[in-house]
Order: sequence, then structure tokens, then C-alpha cells
Amino acid sequence: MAHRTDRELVDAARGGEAEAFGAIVRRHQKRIFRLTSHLLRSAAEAEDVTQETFVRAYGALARFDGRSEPFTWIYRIAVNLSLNAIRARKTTRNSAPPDDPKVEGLLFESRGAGTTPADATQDRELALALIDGLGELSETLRTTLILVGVDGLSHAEAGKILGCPEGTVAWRVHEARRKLRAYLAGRGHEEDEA
Amino acid sequence: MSDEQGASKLVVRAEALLAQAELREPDYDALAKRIEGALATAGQSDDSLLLPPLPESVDDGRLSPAETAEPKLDAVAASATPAPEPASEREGASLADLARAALARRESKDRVSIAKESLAIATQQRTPAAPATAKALPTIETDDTRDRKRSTIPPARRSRAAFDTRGPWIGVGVAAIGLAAGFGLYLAGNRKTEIIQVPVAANTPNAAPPVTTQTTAESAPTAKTLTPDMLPRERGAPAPMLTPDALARESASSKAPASVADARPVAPGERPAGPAAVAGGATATTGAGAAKPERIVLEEEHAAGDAGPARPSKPPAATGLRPAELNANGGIADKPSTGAAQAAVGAVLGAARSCIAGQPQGSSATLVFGSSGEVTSVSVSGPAEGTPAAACIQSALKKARVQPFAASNFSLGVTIRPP
Repeated sequence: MAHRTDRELVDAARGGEAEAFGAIVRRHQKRIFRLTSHLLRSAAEAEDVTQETFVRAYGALARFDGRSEPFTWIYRIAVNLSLNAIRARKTTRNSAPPDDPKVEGLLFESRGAGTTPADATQDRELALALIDGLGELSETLRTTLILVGVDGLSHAEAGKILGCPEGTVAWRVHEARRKLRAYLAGRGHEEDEA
Repeated sequence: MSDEQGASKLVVRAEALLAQAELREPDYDALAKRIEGALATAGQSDDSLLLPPLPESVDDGRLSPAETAEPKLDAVAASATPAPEPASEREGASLADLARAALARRESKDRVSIAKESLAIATQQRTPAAPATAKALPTIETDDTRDRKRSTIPPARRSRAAFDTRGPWIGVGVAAIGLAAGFGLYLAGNRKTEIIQVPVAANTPNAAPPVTTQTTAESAPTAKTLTPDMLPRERGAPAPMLTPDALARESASSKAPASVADARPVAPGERPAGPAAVAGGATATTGAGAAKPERIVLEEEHAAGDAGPARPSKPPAATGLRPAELNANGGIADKPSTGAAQAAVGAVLGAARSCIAGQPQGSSATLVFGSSGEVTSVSVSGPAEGTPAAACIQSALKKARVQPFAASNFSLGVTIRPP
């Protein structure tokens, strides 16, 4: 099967070609899973939400108007489902303890090749502190920062997913980072000038 | 990520660590098969899942595209509103919530337009010094950050505008004070009676009555508490307007010793005692025909401790009235002092009371002193009027004497009770 774009696959799936939507799933499920993992901080919940995202997207194919990319459209569904799951489980803002199995399971080890064990430990503590700090942020700032800072989306892409202007995304990222910087400083992670 | 420049390196590094962390990823092939298997049972999806999850809200700031491309985190952190956490977390993604969020965004845009208009007006009216103030504003000035500012008018212009708005209020305040003062003067002008109570130094053993001195000064503009040291001008009384006769008497007796029963010499430069001077001023006015003669009513009591409820048993020490027969220029007093009047009437009051001995009620008499200090006339009213007792009273009271005074006459009333 020749490489088809997301739009072509969506059009094919809307035409009744089930394999076309399967192709979309295989193409984007990893990114959706990583996104939902960072949002939910639980691999098991992230897997469920990922599956639910594609199922819901398939059920809403008829309402895909084509004004945005299918990837953006699916991302939006994944964010909505993740936020619904967070609200449903009534997550408190309290940060998870470092030995939280969800967090431990989420974060195996960093890929810092060539780093000393001490540096690896320090990076791991820093990443865990960031996860805790993200838990202290508001839903808006946390979600935006994960999309941009962790998932690597551009401001424009994040803006399309979240439904806000690019400038607003930038402001949210700045604001989230400002708060996280203060949070990390309070946890003993000082700014490294080197 | 273009906004990594200038951002907190620590936070960005932490984000990178989190992004690069190996997650406990599932078996994606199995996951895909499960998903494909679930697609067959997929029903209609909820519309809310297709709506923007986190649209722009009033709590959001916004950066311009230029700042988005090259963010300056320090400047943003300084200019942005500190930590505007969302007022309330969105509970559920119902259509009602989304509609409210959309409405909030619309209102926010309205406020942005209002802020723009205000800024345009302020720019048009800005003084030449204003651009320097504008330069001091944060470089990041977006629609929403402008919306957050309380005012777009520079501080200098705000202060001037405040001064401009204070002017009319100051005028209104001054006018109100003027009206209040005028009303107060009007009310004070209607009050014409001042009452001073002083004791009568009666010579009779059983008569030490307090004296109620009632001064009717229609020309007095205000009613105030009188003090002995007050000059006639200070008391609001008009300046003495002496008749030619009074002036002649004054000049003739200016160096004559002025002494009454309890008078004391007053140095030429010393301020004269008040009541006499005041009475003199009022009498002088009377002599000029400008006002009615002043009238002093002496009310007799049987004993000093037998005072009625309305009469003080003790003379008010605060008034401190004492006779002073010389005016400020060392000349003759305008009127007899109260003490002198007390002494004069008290000296003859016993004889007058004896005239109505045996009668159940007392009578009243009005004495008129001439400027020479002698009693020129005595009128009797009451039960004794028209009776031989009246002539007796007149004869007794006519023996009263006071020091000469500058005014043309001086009248006082006295109540005579049977002994």
C-alpha cells in the first residue's frame, strides 16, 4: 500500500475502508500514548485513553470537517479524554510522592548516554521534581506545557489543538515555566549557570 | 522549541529529560489490534470531545507573534499579571461550560477593544513629555496585558485629570461653606437676648438675692457667652455712640475717681472690666436712639440658700463680674456696673420691702437712673400699684445712688417681696 497522507486515510476511512483507519492508529498511537501518559501520569490509564481516543475518533469521522489536520483533530480528542479522566478520578493537586509506582513506572530512566551515575540520579530527581511541579500547575498551564515542552508541539500546533491563539499558548508556556522555576528552586534545584 | 532561548534552563532541561524518558510503553501492535477490534462497536462520539479543550479564557495572557518567536521570559514575568491561576477548574466539558467560556472570551475581546480606544484617546491627548512615560511602559504590550492594566492614561496625565475634576468640587465646597455661614449669621441675628445671672449684694440681712441681668440688645448680631474681659467690640456690641451731653460729661469727669462699693482702680492703660463697658456701650446706643434702653431686672430672694430650681444659689464665678467705673480711656464708665447697681438697690431695698409689709404678694418696680447716678423715676406695678405703698416704694427706691455714667439713663427692675 503506497504511503498515504492522514487526510487521504481519513477520507478512505470515511468511505468505509477500515484498514485505512487502522493505518492512522498505527501511525499516531505512540505519540498519543506518550501524550496521555504525561497528562495522566499513569501508563495503564494512558493505554486505555489511547484506545478510547481512536475509537471516539472513528465514531466521529463523519463530523471531521477537514479544516484541521487529522493529527490535530485526534490530539484534541485525546486531550479531552485525558482531562475528563483526570476530572473523573478527582485528582488532587497534591504532588505524588517520589516512590509513586505510577511515576516510577512512567519514568524508567533518562537517555543520557555517557552520563555518570551521579548525573543520572540528579537528572532523574530533576525529572521527578518536574512531574511534581506539573501537578501543582493549573490544568490549563500543565496541559499546554506538556504539549509544547514535553511533547514537542509548536505553539501553532498546540494552539490549534487547545483552541486558543498562538500568543496565548506562548504566554501559558512562559507562565508555567516561571512557576516551575520557582517550584524547582524551592525543591533545591537551582539554576545551572554553566 | 523556539522559546527555549531565555527560558529557565533548568525547567527546559527538566522538560527535555521528561520528554526523553523511556516510558513503559505498551505493545503497540497489540494495542492497535485491540483498537481495530473496538472500532466495530464504536458508536457516535460525543460532540464535546471535538471541541477545543482549553480555549482562551479571561485568565490567559497573550503574547504577540514577535514575542512568541523570540520570547523574553524575564520581561514577560515582570509585565505579566502574577500567577493568574484559573478562577475555577472546568468541571466537565458540557456545552454550557463551553458556551460560558466562549462568552467570557467575547467579553474579554470587548474589553480589549475598549482598552484600545482608551489608549488611542490618551495618545491623542498626550503632552510632549508623555512619550518618555510611554517608553517606560513594558515593551511587551499585548491586547490582554493592556486589558489587565487599570488605566492606559500616563501617571502625569492622570494626576492632571484628577486636578481638573477637583476644581468644580472645590467650588461647590466653598459655596456650601458660604451658604452655611450666611445661614448661621441669619439665625444669630434673630437671637437678641443674653442672660447673665449675678448676685445682688443686698445690704439687708435677709436679702441676698441673685440678680438676673437681662440685656436686651437688639443690635447685637450674635449671641455669645460674655466674659468680663471682653471689650464691647469683641462682644459684638456696637461702638458707643455718645450724645453731645454724654461726651461733655465724659470729658468733664474723665479724671474723676470712679469708685463704687466694690470697685477697684483701673490703670489708664488697663483693659476695662467687661459688664460695665458692655452695658455702657448698649446704653450709649440707646442714647443715640438706635435701640431700646437696656433693662436690668433684680429679683429678690429671701435667702441665698433659698434659690429656686431655675436660679443658681451661687453666683457664677465664671462671669467674675466686678464693677469698673472707668472705660478703656480712663474716662467715665458708660453705665453703672452690676455690682454698683446691686449695692445701690440693696441699700434701699429693705426700706422698700417694709412698704408692703403685711401684703400677701410682692410688687415690681422699675428704677431709671439718670447719668448723674440719681434715680430719676420709679414706677411701681403689681398689687401695690395705685396704693399708698407705691408712693412709699418710690420714695425708698429714689434714694438709691450709683456713680455717674456716660449713658443718658439706665433702668433696672426689681421685685419687692414683703418682709
